[in-house]
Amino acid sequence: MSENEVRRHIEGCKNGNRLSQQWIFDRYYRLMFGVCLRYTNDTDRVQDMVQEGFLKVFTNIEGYTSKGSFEGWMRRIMVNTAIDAIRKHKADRMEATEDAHLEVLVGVEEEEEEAGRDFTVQEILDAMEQLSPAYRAVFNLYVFDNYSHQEIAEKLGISVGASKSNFAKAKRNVKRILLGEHELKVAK
Amino acid sequence: MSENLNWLDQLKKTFNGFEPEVVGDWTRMERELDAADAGTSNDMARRMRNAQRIAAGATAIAAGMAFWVMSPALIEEEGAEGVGVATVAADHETDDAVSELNSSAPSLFSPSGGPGDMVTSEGARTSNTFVVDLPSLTVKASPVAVETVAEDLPTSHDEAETKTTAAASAEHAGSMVHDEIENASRILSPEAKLEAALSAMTASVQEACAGTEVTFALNGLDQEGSVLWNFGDGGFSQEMAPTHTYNDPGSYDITVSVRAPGDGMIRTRTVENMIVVRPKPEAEMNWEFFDATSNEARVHLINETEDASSSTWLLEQEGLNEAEVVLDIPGAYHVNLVASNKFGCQDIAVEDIHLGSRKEAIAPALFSPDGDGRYDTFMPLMLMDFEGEWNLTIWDGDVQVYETSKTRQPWRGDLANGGAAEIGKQYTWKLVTQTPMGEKHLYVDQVLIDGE
Repeated sequence: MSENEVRRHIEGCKNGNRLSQQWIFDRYYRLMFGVCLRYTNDTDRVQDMVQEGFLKVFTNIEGYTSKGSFEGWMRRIMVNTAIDAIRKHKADRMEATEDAHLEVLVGVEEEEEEAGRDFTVQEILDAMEQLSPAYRAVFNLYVFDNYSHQEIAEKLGISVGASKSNFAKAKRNVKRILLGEHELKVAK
Repeated sequence: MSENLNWLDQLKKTFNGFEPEVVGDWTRMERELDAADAGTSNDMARRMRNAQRIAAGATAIAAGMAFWVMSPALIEEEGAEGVGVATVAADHETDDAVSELNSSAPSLFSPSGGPGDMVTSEGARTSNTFVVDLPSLTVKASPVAVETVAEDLPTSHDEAETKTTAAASAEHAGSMVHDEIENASRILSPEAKLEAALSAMTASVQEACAGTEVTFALNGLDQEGSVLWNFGDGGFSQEMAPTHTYNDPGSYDITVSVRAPGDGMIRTRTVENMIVVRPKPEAEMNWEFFDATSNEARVHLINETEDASSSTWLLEQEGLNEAEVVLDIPGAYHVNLVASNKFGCQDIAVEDIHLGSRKEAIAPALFSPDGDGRYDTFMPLMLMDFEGEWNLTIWDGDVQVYETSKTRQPWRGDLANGGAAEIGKQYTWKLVTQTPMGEKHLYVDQVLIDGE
């Protein structure tokens, strides 16, 4: 896939060309699915997010100015869509206080050693699944989507301090869950 | 804590290029796109396009430009095949060289390049034609070469076309239909091909909005050689078919130099004002609420774009007929303002309207301003460490009874008229916050005056 080809199809999308839209959709669908999957393991919801995200991509394509990377621009739309979807979802209130599971884990001294091995995508997703949606969002935005705490605070409507503390807790817990599973497997 | 960074980087790396085995439902996507198109967005697109046509047409006529085109979208729609340039460009040193070029689109030459000769109305359909300011060509035609053209190749029946170009510094010019060029190119020498390619330099658009990428090409140049493009704004490229983005409005001269691998001779050609770049508007928006209850708010959208000739509001991708909407609380709403100026150039402002209730603002549902030292004041807790500006108002129905923007001045149940809040009564509070980044949130809910 050449840069020119992508560029040509972006132009096509700007002119409302269905074939170009389909080309972009097919080309990036899986990648964008991967982006949204980090925010929830519920694949039906991920499908809806990606679908809505693409609709935004196509209807706002004029907003893409060729200054940055197209993929990066799409990613940002997907992340926004995922966050919005989570915020709207009643069960996923962005209040980060109700996570009983986390409270148990928080306070355990942070392990200083390296994680020790590579984890698979599935292991990481499973670990993140155990976080509350709020913690998961902060963790994702910071680690994978390169948002600063300031930006996360803006996005989630929380304070910078809350973003930092949620992230610290989320980080500790993800590591703990990953390592815990690891130890469990070794024990077996 | 480099260890932790490494650990997180490791996770990040795992997700790099992660593409799960899923297949997108294009049918559903297409259906949704159709629905979006069929709705207001389609009307909007059509209005925009019409506005662009009108604006571009008016500009061209008013300014008496020597050439003009519509936006790229319009060109596409009308089946542009590229840029037509007509000139004879044969090198004096290669008498046998014949260079002949014309576009497949109807030619529209400007006699002596005078702006007054611009043909408008139906001429608009030939918007993919531009007129070369012939004196700027460094390669001139020789009479001998032109005679060859006249004898060997059928010229256009349109006498006017040859006449108009003759008025310029090149002695003659003819035109041919497209396939005849191809026939001709087979019998042309490499040098002549080079000349032909030079004179067939094209750009994907001739009039573009700032920030638009323009693609240039030298048609028919299949041989190896080196090329240097000068985009006229300080940008250069050595690609055969480069793309370039013009960020500043203005009129740009394009110069291309080619060197054939064989003779090493450099041929240069400049087309003056080949690209006209139009300014883009700077879309800016704001919003304010003017009526809110605890479950919905009436929000007024404010267009702060300075140089727009038309604009459209989109709420969650849906077009709005007016700049006023009723939104449910809580919720986050994505609003776009699509502003377009008299040149048909567009810009889009994006803003999220965040509406929250008690929960989001971490505000108590009740308080008891009885001076017993317990729950005597009302102040949403989110404001305790909020780093932006905010304003809190308390309402008794339509009457504002208290206002504050300082955390050390919480509401103690006192009313503007000097009285005290009634026990057992619900008061509505409205909190508007603005983060240092400029993101605005509105929180609305009710608070009960508790007697206990």
